[in-house]
Amino acid sequence: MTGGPRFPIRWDVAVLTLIFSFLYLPILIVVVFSFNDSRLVTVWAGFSTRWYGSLLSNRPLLDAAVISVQIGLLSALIATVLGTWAAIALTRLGPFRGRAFLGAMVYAPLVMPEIITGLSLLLLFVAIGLDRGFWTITLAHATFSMCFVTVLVQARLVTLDRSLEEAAQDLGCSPFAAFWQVTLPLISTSVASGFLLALTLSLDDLVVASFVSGPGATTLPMRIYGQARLGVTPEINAICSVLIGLVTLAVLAATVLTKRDFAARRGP
Amino acid sequence: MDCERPFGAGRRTLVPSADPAARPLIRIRNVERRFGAVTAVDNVSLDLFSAEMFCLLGPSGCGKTTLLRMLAGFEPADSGSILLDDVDQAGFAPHQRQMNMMFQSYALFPHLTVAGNIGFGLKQQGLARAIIRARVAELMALVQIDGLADRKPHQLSGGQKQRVALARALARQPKVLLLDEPMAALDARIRSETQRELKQIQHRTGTTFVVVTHDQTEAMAMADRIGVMQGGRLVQVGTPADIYERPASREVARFVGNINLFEAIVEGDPAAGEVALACPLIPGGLAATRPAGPLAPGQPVAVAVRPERMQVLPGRLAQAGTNVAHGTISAISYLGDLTVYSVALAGGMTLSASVVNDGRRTGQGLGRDTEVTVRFDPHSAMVLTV
Repeated sequence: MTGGPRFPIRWDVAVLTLIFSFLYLPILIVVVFSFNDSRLVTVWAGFSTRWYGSLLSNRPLLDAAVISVQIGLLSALIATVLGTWAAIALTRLGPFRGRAFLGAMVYAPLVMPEIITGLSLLLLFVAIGLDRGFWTITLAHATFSMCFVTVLVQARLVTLDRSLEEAAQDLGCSPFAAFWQVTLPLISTSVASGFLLALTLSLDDLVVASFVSGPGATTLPMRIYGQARLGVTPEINAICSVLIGLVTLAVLAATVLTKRDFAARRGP
Repeated sequence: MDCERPFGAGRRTLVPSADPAARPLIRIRNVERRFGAVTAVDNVSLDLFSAEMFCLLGPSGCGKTTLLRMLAGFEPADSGSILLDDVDQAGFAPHQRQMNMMFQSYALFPHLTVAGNIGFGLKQQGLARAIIRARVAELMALVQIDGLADRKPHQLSGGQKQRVALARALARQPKVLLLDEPMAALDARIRSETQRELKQIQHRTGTTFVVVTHDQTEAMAMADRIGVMQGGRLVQVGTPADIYERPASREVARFVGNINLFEAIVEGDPAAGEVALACPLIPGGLAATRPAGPLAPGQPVAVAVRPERMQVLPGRLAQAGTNVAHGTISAISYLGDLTVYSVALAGGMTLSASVVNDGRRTGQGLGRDTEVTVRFDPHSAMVLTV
């Protein structure tokens, strides 16, 4: 594009540098110091990977990581199934009573303060007498990540030509078979992106998990937070760097999936 | 293509609908469909015959696509019934009906190859893979897209997509093929050629085609019979010639082709088969072919004359006879094969008259603002009572 007033180049660069510094400098510091040879977190004493090695022998941290991954996968699975279902209901069932209300309600958890989500879920679990632990965290994570899946899948469904599903039915598919053979393959990348997003949300969560967890179910963020209160060790930097790596990979995968899907739809 | 039904079987030179003994394949009886306050399909009754090419013609929003979707089973009828081979279709979902649809957007499955798309319906029937492959190859030959089997839809041109959609809809050998604006997405350049091919394929497969279109030239070019829809109602059904030569109403006459309409009053019948009318625009009066229905003197009617039935002569004819009007040329459109003259009459009406450019008389002495005489034969003038 040409024409229109343009900032002098140096302004653009300055602003961008500032923004990205704000965003990524803290993260960069964590990653850099995870390779610090010193036991002191803020004093650089040469490159080392020994903290990554010592992670492997930190039993409580490893246990917490296993629990986090289990909860993440399970809650993401539940969120994906329910979230996709909700998206289909909202886009495909046609007008029904309360549809607009439900449509708005789907977005509410996106902006709901986590502390409220956590507290209300805790009250619910106590009220129905559910033992707090692994399953309550899984349910809680599925609950708040479901709406992210719905939003992603809904965005894809509204761009999907309705006549594709009708064509499948016209060619002999029952509505259910048409969903499996045509709709699901076409929204699969959005569903997969939703799953990855739900997974990262679950892996990241500290607030909600702290509210609804019980004895014996400590997630990785909870463990890290607990240890950090006693002082940040290079080991924590190392485990955080691993987490950052995992989350970045998941988000990249989701982005690549969406981009590829978009390119395939637009054609060469 | 290898079909259980041999091609051309039951195909007669006689139009099926003209044979009183012919049994309709589809009977549509008093069908209605309402969306809120809007009646999209208003009390439509229609018989469709085996192996005929039927076009539903009408402006957008006239209910023709809704009627097509009701046949396919995507829209329920609020009242009335649709019978295929004397079986009421009301209880059948789209996937249970022996009718297939070609969608306006083609609706090709983007995640499947051309072969996967064409074979989709066959796969649902649980046919063996080898049989499906053979049938897909036959269908691809039928619509002339051999060699594209492994392409994805986004790698195809518009014309190729249309052929894949046609092959896919024909794959299950439906009794009726429903086509929703099949030419709408094509270049005007390849449209007439595709119309011809579609008619050939229809003839070879012996399938009943129901084509929805808003394009009257397309309907005239392809159809054995045309049903004209307006405002949800089926206002006229007939062969292309019926519709063009004997439109049922002013609306049909205006919608199908170009027409000059004179509002006139019935006076009497001077000659057998003719009727005399008074029209303020034509001092010498009008004479037109007598319509089938009764006419009363003093009844207001319209006299319709097609532009190509108008004769344009330079200068002013001395005697002001019947079916003779005087005016000046206000515009000339040269269309290559035809020249269309707009002639402004003294009474304020503008006629259009088209003249074939046959190389002998083209444009002779006819320019803008030339005074001309326009005349037409009584047998070219139709009386429209509604």
